[in-house]
Amino acid sequence: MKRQRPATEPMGGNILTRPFVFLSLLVLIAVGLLLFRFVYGLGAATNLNNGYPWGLWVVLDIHITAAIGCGAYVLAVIMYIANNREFHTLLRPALIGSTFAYTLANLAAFVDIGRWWNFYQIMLPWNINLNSVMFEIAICMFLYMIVLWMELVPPVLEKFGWERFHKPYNKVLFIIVALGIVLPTMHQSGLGALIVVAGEKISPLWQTPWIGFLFLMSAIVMGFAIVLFEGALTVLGLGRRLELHLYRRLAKLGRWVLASYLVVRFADLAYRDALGGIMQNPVQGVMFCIENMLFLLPLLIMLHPRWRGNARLLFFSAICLVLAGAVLRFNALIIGYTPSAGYVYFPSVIEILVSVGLLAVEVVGFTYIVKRFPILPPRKKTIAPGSAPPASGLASHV
Amino acid sequence: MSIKRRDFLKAAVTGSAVAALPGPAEARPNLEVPPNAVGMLYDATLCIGCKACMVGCKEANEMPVESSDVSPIWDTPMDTSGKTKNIIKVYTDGTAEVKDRETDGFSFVKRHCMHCVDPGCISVCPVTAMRKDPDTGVVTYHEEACIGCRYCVWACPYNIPKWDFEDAFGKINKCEFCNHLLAEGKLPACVDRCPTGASLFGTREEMLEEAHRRLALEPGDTYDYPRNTLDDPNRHEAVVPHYVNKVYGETQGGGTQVMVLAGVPFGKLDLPEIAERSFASVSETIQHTVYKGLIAPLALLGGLMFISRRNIEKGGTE
Ligand code: SF4
Ligand code: SF4
Ligand code: SF4
Repeated sequence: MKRQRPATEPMGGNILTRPFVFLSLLVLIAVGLLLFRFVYGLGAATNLNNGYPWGLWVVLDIHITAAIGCGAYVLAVIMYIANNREFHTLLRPALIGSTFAYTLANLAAFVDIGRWWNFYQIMLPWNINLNSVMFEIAICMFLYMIVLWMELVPPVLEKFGWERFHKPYNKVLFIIVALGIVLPTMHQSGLGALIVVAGEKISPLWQTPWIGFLFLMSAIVMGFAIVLFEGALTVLGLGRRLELHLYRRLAKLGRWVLASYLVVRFADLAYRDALGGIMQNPVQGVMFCIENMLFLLPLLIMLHPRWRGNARLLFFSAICLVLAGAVLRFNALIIGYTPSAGYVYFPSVIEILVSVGLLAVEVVGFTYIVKRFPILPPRKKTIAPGSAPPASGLASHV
Repeated sequence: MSIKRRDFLKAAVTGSAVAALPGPAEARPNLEVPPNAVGMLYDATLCIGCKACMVGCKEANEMPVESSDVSPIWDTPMDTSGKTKNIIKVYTDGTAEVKDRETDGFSFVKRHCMHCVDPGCISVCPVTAMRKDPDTGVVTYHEEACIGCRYCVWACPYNIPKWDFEDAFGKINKCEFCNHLLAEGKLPACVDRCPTGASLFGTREEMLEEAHRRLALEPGDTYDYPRNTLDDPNRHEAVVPHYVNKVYGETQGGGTQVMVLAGVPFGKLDLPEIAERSFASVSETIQHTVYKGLIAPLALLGGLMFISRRNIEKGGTE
């Protein structure tokens, strides 16, 4: 078997840059606040109540974070199933992003459950409830996190010079890859199917038997977008050269998923005659429009050959799509949800700071790992001749 | 019927699209009423809002009082909560002159677990911490298994299970039909304490019959209303009010074991109009169409393994 491993190497460079230190502080604050949450409980730390038992942590730190973690899933399908290798240089950075995202989503689930000391109950065979969408999600998300860690074995082997393990690893890689596709397919649709059981408590703008399928499709769209987004961030923050041709082709592939998503979304709304819901509740109506504008605008950009070729517009589209998926999830789980009368919810400062801290973990971890582990292609080949490193502190290197 | 079919078709299509495999499963029908289903009938027109049932409930379940007042004199919860399983609420409109009238009237309503025939809380719980007695149909909560995910709070169509947010090591609280008292052959505390027979206990069948008997009465006539149970001799005569012509809980979401009669529309009393097909059955039909015997995911896994293995051999690992 021939190995066509593209050379990757640690970026090297100073770890303790100013942004890194700042973000690490945010992480530390979050850790402190989490301590508070575990000692004084959910009621003290959050603004959750019995009308809105799920809030920011569930939607942002579990649902959205997991969807943002779909980069590796999307690239795995393209590379190993469609056998299209042109994006191979994007795989490792995407894997790092996804692994962080899923690890944090699992952690957030642990933080959010009220009886965390009882979490192992979900693994006891006599407690299993196969009817529960939550059960499926919890198990699949946990297993997928482990799969992602296993997909990160090669860079670790390279880093420590254990090359002789590559061969046995590559023999079982196909199992890891297949699991790494089935598991997200299952739980990303499950995260949407979660709301079906709430029936009429969710506005018909989001309550549909198709919601699972829509969540899955939008997660794939977000996977595409996050690869683009991460690419742009490594350009801006770490002074890498932009591989525009790759991103343009990625956008070309992704737009078909995006277009199908919108077709299914609106066909379903029309079939159920649910668009009237926009008029019934102004907040829900506005949020619905924002959500779908954020999906539509990038599609227009990506359909237009010249716009698609513009790096800025491409980056803008990616941001829109990540936001679109995020708003869809906020809408389906919180905005579209009608609690019994008299309850309101807005996240507490602690909820917000913990969420910010968890996002900071991702950036800090990503920066550290690409500087110390062989994730990105060697700099020599990727820095454009004569390009000065940007002023950002993250890019300062020895 | 046609709606069921449509939902099912949609679910089947969703399922096969997700799993990339046909073979739709049977739509899961609503669950059946258990053989010895217990029942409760709450007749809002008999309720005088004395809240004796609330006191009884707290005593029987060793729940502390709660105060929403500035000066805590009484037990005054605002809703069912981590410390309150049962609450009397009031609907008022305009001048609120006449009892059990929608306009310029008022009505009490007693809210606690409905003990659904096909409960959402049981369908959603990832650890089977909500269980329905296969014989009596009482829905109980088992804290030793609960992980505190609050999916039951989120999903219950009647907003009944409540998380105790005041306790750092909290749990879910909900009415369990005084299961411990039923086991001793006693009445649920709220029924036992009710002075007017507004809360009545029996089998679900008996309660349904009694409810329909009352709906068939002529408003203005008198009726010999039972207290506690149908065969308790301690009855009282009262004038028959204008009932809304429906037994709430007969069919809603597949039916409930606690049923309600009232003089004002149920929607005003926090009792939403819910389709007959339970949300649990809709959700589970989708789940099981996709995951029936794990065949679809396993087939998908097998196919992916085959393809990726071939591609890895052909094209290298990365
Ligand atoms: S009313 Fe709610 S808590 Fe009670 S059985 Fe039905 S779903 Fe469960
Ligand atoms: S909070 Fe407890 S009882 Fe409710 S669904 Fe979660 S694990 Fe089950
Ligand atoms: S049956 Fe028991 S627990 Fe339920 S409301 Fe009545 S007194 Fe309370």
